[in-house]
Amino acid sequence: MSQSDDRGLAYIRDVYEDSQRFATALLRENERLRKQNTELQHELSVRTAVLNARSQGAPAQQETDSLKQRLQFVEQENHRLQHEQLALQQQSASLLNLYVAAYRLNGTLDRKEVLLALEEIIANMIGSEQLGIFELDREAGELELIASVGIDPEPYRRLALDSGAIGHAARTGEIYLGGHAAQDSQQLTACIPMSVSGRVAGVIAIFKLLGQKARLEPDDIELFNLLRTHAGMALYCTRLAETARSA
Amino acid sequence: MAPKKILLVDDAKTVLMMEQMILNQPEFRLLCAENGTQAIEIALTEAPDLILLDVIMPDMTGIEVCAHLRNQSATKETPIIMVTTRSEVEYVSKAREAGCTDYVTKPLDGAELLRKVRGLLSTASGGAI
Repeated sequence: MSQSDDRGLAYIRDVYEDSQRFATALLRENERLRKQNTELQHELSVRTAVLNARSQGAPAQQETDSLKQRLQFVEQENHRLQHEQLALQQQSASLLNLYVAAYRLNGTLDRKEVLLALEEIIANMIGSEQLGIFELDREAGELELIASVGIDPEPYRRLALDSGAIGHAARTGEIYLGGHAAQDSQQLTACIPMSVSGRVAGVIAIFKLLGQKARLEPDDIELFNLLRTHAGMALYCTRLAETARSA
Repeated sequence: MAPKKILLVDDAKTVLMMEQMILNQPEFRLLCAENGTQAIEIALTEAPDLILLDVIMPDMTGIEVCAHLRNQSATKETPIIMVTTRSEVEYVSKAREAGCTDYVTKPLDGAELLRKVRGLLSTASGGAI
């Protein structure tokens, strides 16, 4: 891994740890507000009961109104903090995935290990056990299937660049997203071009998602963007290492 | 209070790393195994407070490991959470028959996992699903 990659990973880890600390602090604040809410509700009910018993006039009613306002404010704050907490948890989970994916892809120069890492990332972070990984054969102008999981590899051994969404992703360098999550193994959920220095070097094709994963989420697209740069570079580095070893 | 020991079992390094980061909390001490045989060995020597067990592994499946651990006095009551890519009823019922306490599905939801782990560790022993 280069120094800039090291710095990048360290930065992602720092941001992840910061967001975890912030989430913990938010949880504590949320807990405090819940407690305050409960106390205020109790106080309100006690005072309302007293008021009802005494059948008091306007001054007591003012006190009840004031308590109701305070309670409403605490409830709104509680609601807002719950939203913030949820957003932070999602951000934290997304950063964790990005960190682990980058670490796994850049942590080895072994080609099999990089391909295995890619399969694990797609299975465990995206949620698909049907995928194909293609490398671009520039001389032949074709995509060569170098690894696959859960699909019949035969129809995909070599694909022309003008064939379907996989070829389109290789030609344009743009991520292809199916309109909806694929329901059968013939449909594509996504195609992610892998780039090295801005040039497409291959494509990752993701077919059917797991049953419990209904659709792609925004975090998945973040991960696709990471794969677009890191996966291609990781595979390219394994080639360089192989060449260096055999020289 | 001494940190609770959690044994993480998965043949995928990516998953082990994700679990380690999610459960990287001061109240936990994490142990790792990359296959079923290693998991049984560590479980019997270290007596973890909770086991997070992948279902699909090459040598022994998580369901086999779970059944084996349930037959050992040291791990008979240890809470076991199965981690599976398959949420289908047949896998859940097989995991339940093998004696697992709870299960989570991949892709992992960090908040859900942490909540389940803390919930099970706060009770004296795990019950059935």
